[in-house]
Amino acid sequence: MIGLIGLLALILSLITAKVFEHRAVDSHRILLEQLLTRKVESISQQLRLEVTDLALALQAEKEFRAAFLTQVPAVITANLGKQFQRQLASDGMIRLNRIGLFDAHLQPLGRAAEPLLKIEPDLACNVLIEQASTRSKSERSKILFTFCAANGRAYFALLAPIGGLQPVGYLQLETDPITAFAPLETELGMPIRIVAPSGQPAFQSRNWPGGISGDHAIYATHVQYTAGYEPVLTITAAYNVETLRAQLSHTLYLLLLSAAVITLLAIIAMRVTLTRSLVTPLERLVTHLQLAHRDKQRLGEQIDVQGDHEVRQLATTFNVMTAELRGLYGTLQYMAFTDPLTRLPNRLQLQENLNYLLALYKDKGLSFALFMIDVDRPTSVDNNPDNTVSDALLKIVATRLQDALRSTDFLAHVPPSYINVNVDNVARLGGDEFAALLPLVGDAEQALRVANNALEALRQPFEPDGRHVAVEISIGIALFPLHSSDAAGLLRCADIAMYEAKRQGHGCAVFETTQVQQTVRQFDLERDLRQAMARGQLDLHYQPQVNMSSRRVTGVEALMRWHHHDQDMIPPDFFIPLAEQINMIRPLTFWALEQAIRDCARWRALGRNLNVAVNIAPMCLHDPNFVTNTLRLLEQSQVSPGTLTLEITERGHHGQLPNALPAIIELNQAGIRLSVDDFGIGYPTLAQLKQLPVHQLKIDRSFVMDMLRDASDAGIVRATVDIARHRKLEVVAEGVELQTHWNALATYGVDIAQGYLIARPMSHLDLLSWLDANTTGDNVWIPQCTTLAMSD
Amino acid sequence: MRPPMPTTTFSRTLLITLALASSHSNAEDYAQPLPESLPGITSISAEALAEKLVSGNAMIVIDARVATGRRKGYIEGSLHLADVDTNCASLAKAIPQRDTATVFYCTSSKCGRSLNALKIAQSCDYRNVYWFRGGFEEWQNKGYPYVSANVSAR
Repeated sequence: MIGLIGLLALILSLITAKVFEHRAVDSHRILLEQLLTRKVESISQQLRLEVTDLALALQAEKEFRAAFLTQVPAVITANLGKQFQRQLASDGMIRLNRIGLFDAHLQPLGRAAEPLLKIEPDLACNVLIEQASTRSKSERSKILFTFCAANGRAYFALLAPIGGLQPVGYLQLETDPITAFAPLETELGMPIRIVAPSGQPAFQSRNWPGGISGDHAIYATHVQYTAGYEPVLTITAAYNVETLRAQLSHTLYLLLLSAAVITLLAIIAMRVTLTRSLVTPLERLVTHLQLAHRDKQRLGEQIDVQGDHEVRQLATTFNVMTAELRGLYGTLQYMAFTDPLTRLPNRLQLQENLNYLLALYKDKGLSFALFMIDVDRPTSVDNNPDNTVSDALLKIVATRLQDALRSTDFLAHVPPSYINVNVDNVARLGGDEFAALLPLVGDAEQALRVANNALEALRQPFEPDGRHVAVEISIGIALFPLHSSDAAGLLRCADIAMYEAKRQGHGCAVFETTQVQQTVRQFDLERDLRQAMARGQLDLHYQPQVNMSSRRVTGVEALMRWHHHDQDMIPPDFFIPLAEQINMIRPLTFWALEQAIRDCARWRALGRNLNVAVNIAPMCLHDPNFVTNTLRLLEQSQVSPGTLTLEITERGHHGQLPNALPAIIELNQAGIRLSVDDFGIGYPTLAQLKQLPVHQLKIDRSFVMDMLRDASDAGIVRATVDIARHRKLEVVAEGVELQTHWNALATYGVDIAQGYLIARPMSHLDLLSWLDANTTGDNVWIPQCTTLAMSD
Repeated sequence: MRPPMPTTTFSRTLLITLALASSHSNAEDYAQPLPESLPGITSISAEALAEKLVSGNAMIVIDARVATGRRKGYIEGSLHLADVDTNCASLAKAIPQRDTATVFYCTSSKCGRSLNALKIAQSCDYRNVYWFRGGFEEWQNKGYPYVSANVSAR
């Protein structure tokens, strides 16, 4: 940019210099011509005056007067000749060539020429006499003069009256004007050249450059005219332009130099100004921006810059913006790291604090404790429809936890190096889960003391919303670096300890290493289960169900199998709850449904009209798309809805069944059969059962297997059958392993039996083989064992 | 052969300018020309003066210049009476009769001596006075004969 400015300045200077030179030469010529004209006019004037003086002086001379008075031409001519000899001719600028004398009537009386010139005495400029003869009386005394040309030569002629204002005669003098103009050469200080009417130079300076035009010189010309405007003399002056050029290039050099200096100064000045008014303030602003970018705590720092109006405005805007950003950042940070309900730090903030503490304590031989706290709210609070009581309760819990854990009175010794740590450390992780960092707690004993303190504080009754409520909490304790030296590990250990505390009854527990193996195994399984579906490790096995009176295989129950890559087979009892925990149950169930319906369609295509039962977690029924998706699967495989039985287990999901009621009704209306699985061990009450539009009750295997030994189990089975009879439901007994089971169940009036006595769960293909081997064409089961026949 | 260049272009340019300036100011002083006419003053041109002189009217021509001006030449028959020497007494000597037509002239229209002398004459009660404003310069430039100083010198 600056270079460009410099270049422009240089170009400008060059153009200026060229124009200047051109103009300089031109104006020089004009100036010279004016000067020449003035000089020629001045010399002409001088010449006229001198010739007039000569004419006046001549007639004052006595001998001349005497000769004139004779009026005799011979006398007069003789006198005139003498006048040349009196050296008048060489006087000053006058070189007298001829003298002529006339009487009062302008009749010639005599004439003479400069003898040295050897010229004719006849006057050259007769025009003056002609002019004089035409004028009026009062004009007769006037002196006339002119330049004239004759025989290729120039003359200056003057006609003066003799006798003043009353002329008695006239005197004409003719001089050579070249003599008068030649001194121009010295007057102008430059060579001149005078060209006569003949075209030949009448005078030329010795140092005349040659020619009358060209590059080397500036030529100025003045042309002298006669009275009749004929050119008489052409006077040319030459001025050596080389010197001018040299001078001009010197000037150009000076001009360029000054342009360069001025440009340089301008650039320096501009740079200084820019630096002061723009660059420095901008650099400060940029530095500030970068600082704020790196360290968010510096947001909002105000900056004061000197400089341009614009820069100051920019700084002002920056200040406003950074202040706003600070506010915004603060809000965001608050929002991101704070639990909105309790205003405690949230999980993210806990992580941050934990990492901070870890970094602080690392390699220092110091330890701290992490508490994981779970609050068990009473059901009455839980069922509060608008959560206000629940929220209020959580707030009180938060406050009490903070108070209980902030107190350091319980600490016997506080190492000085611990003091710097911020102990505002209780966080709400979500739901009923809290956590606390205790930087001052160094061992398990201390930790337990603190935990018991907190438990005690929370045991005091709560009265949110005026209601008397009591909560129980469980605290899991993990210690750094004893249990883990990283954040994730500590959190996991504390979590495990918390579950342990919960399992043992409400209270607190310190993490123990034995807990970890089981937990780690579980974590691995979780990970593996997520991948199992994608890896095709899941499989469905089918266990036949036989009608106890007709002995027909009415259907099969689909059971999930997980062929783990390094464990043989993981039973569904283990991985289904796991899937529920890690939120995998819905995709898993849907996969099983899809598979079972597809397989069912195949059997039916082969002429095996079997129903298929699939286990459904109540959680799935909460999925609003579940019914639609199931019906779509049936439609795709062209299996009628009545072929499908959904077994809904109650185990572990107490109280959730009523929420699934709309879905159950919908399924029922679609014609899908519903079965209550594990009947007898779950929580469904008879009242609930009354509401449910189910078709089937499935007696849990535990009752079947023990009913022969335990009378109460047998009673449950019988009672179930009674209920089913009363409600017109089908009863299925599973876990039928022995012939005696079969017999007993038959006695009780159970409709369908399922168990090892009939067949183990089998793969799709094995089932087909089993059917071929053990049933007739219309699915009637033919037992291999003869014991059955015996019972009949 | 190159012409000798005595001075630098700058000084040459300066010389030319000065020369032009001096050619403009050939007059003996730098005064502005006097007004063409003035109240109470009767002007006369060179032609009118010549006419009167040629026609032989009785007229006195007073040359009001100081001696240095007179030496450059003068109108034939004029009396030399410099304005500095003009008073009623000297006027009475030069002009015996007050009603004689009298013309005052000096160097040129820029020269105030003729006007000065004329006013003195008026104050001395000369009424038939004329002011030849153009003076000797106009006389000479219009080609009227005069008495050359050179003539007297020769």
